[in-house]
Amino acid sequence: MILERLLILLVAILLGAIVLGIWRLWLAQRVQKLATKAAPNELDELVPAGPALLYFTTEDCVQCRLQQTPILTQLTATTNVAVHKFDAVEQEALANFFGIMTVPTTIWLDKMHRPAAINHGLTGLAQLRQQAQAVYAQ
Amino acid sequence: MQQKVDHTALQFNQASIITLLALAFLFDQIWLVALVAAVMLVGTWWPGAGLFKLFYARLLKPAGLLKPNVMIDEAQPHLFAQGVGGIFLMASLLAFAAGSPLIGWVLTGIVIVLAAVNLFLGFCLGCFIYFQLARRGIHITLPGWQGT
Repeated sequence: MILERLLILLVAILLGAIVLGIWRLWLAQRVQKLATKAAPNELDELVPAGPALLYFTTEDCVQCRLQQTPILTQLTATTNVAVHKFDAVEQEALANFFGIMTVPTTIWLDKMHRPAAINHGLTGLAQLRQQAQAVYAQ
Repeated sequence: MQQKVDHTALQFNQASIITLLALAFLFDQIWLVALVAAVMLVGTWWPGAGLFKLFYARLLKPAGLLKPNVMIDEAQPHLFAQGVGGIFLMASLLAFAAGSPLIGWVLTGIVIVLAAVNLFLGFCLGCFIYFQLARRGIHITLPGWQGT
């Protein structure tokens, strides 16, 4: 009985890990594909040359206002990261290009303005700092 | 004034829920499901009385075993998420009582999966639902949530 249930638990954990792995792989491949595509003209018009962090939000995103924005404020206070805030509804072309699925979404651009990482959903300060180091080290 | 939430307390709460519910399933101990349901619902109604959070705040944090990670955040969505989890566990207990252990364990499994997604991936479905309701002008609150 216990062995049977242990097996069920292990299979469930394994399935979860597989689904997670496939999801992460798909996201990574998507970023790589995006890097080879020509970005909409708005990107170069709105974001100056060099590495940058794009922050997609909407007017009524409570999580953005209460959680993601304070995290980004802490990031900019301690680093020289350039954060560019966009309304995902108003900037439809950019949102479609980057495949914004939810807000908040943060996107790292390298010095050539190619996407280096896309964070769907709330992203913590530690992860953003780690990504900043990788982007600015290039 | 900006609210602050200790995310280590939330993570310990989630880890406790996952561990106890997994043990409940493994050893077929429905009383453990009832215990977790009670802890979640009591902790939702009176945030200061959440057993796992109390264990963290009174023992683990002072002993230096876990370090606090205080972030600017809103406590209400997390409390709402916990309440939804507690209601799912109550539903699972009803299923057990009605002689449908499969439904009972499936509902318990949903709580385990959602707590694990929150703990390991940082996505809180209950918080997401809370924010979506707030967007539509539905603000869910309880008397005990004032001043959290």
